[in-house]
Amino acid sequence: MLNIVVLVKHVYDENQLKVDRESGKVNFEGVPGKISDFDRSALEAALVLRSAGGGKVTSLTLGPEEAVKSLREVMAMGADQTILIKDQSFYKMDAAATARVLHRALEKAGPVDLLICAEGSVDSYTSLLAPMLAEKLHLPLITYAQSLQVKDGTVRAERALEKRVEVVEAKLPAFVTVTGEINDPRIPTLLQIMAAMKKPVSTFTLADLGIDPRDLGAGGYRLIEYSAKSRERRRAMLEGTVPEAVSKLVDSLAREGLVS
Amino acid sequence: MVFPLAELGDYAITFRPEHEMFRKVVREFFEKEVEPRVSEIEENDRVPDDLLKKMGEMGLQGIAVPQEYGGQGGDQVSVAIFCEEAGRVYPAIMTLVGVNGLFTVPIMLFGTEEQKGRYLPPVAKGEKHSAHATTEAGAGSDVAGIQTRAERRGDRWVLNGRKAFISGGDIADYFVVLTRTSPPPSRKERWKGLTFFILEKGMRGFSVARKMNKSGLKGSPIVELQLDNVEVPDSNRLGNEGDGFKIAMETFDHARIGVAAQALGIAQSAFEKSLNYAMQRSTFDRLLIQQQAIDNYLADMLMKLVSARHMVYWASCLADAGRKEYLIAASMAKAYATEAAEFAAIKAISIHGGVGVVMDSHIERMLRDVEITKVYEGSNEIQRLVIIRQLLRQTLGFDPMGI
Repeated sequence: MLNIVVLVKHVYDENQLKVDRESGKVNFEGVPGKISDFDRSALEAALVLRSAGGGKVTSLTLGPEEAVKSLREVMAMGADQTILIKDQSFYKMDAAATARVLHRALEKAGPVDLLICAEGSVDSYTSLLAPMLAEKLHLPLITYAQSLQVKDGTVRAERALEKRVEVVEAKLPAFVTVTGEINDPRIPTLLQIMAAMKKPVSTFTLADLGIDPRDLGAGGYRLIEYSAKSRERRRAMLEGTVPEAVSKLVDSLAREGLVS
Repeated sequence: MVFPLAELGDYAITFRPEHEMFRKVVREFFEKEVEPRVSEIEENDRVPDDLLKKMGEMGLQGIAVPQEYGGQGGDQVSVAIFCEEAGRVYPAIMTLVGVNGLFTVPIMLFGTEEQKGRYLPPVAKGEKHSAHATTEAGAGSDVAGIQTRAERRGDRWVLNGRKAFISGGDIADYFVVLTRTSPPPSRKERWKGLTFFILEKGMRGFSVARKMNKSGLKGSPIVELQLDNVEVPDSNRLGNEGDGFKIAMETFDHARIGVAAQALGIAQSAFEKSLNYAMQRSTFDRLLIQQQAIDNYLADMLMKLVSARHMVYWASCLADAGRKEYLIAASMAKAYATEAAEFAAIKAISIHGGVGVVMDSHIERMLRDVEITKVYEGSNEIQRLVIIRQLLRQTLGFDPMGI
């Protein structure tokens, strides 16, 4: 019986962000939230392990009340249990503060065999949380897993690195971050969606975890502002017959070092 | 009174969180799994089996079928959400799924427990396909004009005739077939004497006569069915003898909102694609979106689109609340949304110019797909009759057909 905990994050839907073209300022007002894309892959990985060897999948998030929507989504996909640490100021927290909160929450939630999260969240994509949290929990950490197996108390993963694949193992309990390539997350049925709406969500506040929110900001970094970077596309027309244009294209790609 | 309904609240549309989540997953499915294969489906005039199988596994073939019969137990709003999202990416898939509804709805409403147990679960799970055969070459919206006959022989029935324009008939395992079992008692009572039967593929004398070639909704072929002394036991009769007209009407009442939502999806797609194109394409050194004529087109498209959306979901909410006024609302939604979608498809071609009629652009397809929505499930001319006749019956107690 594996106890798997999957960390998920409720983020702004980046497709619906409004950017002021002049100033580059990003307007978050009225932008709906969604589950961070690769978190669904993390959950899918957990569900696959559960169906192979049995166990329980718990999903944990830190966020505002609205984050319950993401938890409902993971319940529709098949998570057995979900926990929301409700806090309106979470977006001001840096990864260290978030790791502190999640650390406390995991201690409260009971023993964990395998902790899984995505390699990064689609909003800030710092990829800092997992190493920080692993350190606090004294768990071995495997990052960028593109495949995952659990056997005889050991987790084995293929790590997708830039030019090679590493196969690594760790004894459970362990912490794994997965890439989006690890799987194709399942799409829930209407029946599963309707059932998920009726399931309970355990909710904690920072006070329940014995954390004073004023302590969290101290010593960490502070996000002051977001602005969008725009990049003009280079428009190039290649003249001539198709074979001529193709060889010009190949030449220019080679000059850029994009093909060799 | 806020004529023709009682009060303002009767015009309300309410969604629950599961509706939005369902909309998102259906959209994801269509954008990820269907959109990349649209050209392939158009070319082969067939939706690949693996896609149909996947939809079955996702429960999309049985959204409104109760859970105890293998379905999802969803409401009319959920059905409309599916139909809209299907319409937005590839409307033919809504028709393929919709014909299963035309089979399951009459069985849910009028079938025996045995019929429900036998036919609903495999269709709702997508393991079997089904079709609805009312229309003939000489009778469509005029249901009472059908010529296919069934004669009683002991405890069996013998069916003879020919059905036309039957969507999904090429792959269906099960069919509901409307027949005339007794002559109409009078010209005014032409609707009497019709009876439905459930037929299965492979029954002796029952065959697909030919596939009909058509312009739109590729991937959802229509066929002619031949019934040549097809013999069925009385247990295959659906509903009471003589209740066929009523069953057909109630079935189409339900299906109407689906067609309206399908058209809504087409209008949505036409608007999104047109706006996108107008933001990119320049003429006379200005973007199309900076040209007043184009903005007028887009504004008209959006006004109709949003109006259609309100009508579709308003009708769905009335249906879910069990309100009889949903009949008027569904007919209004069907006629309005399908015409709004036609308008949007034509304007999308105008905005795209020459690109709009290039088949690879998938702009002209919207117009090919939308035309039949104005016709099937009762033509828009019939819808307009329903709107006023139902209005008179429900609000004034006046039956214009009764005099």
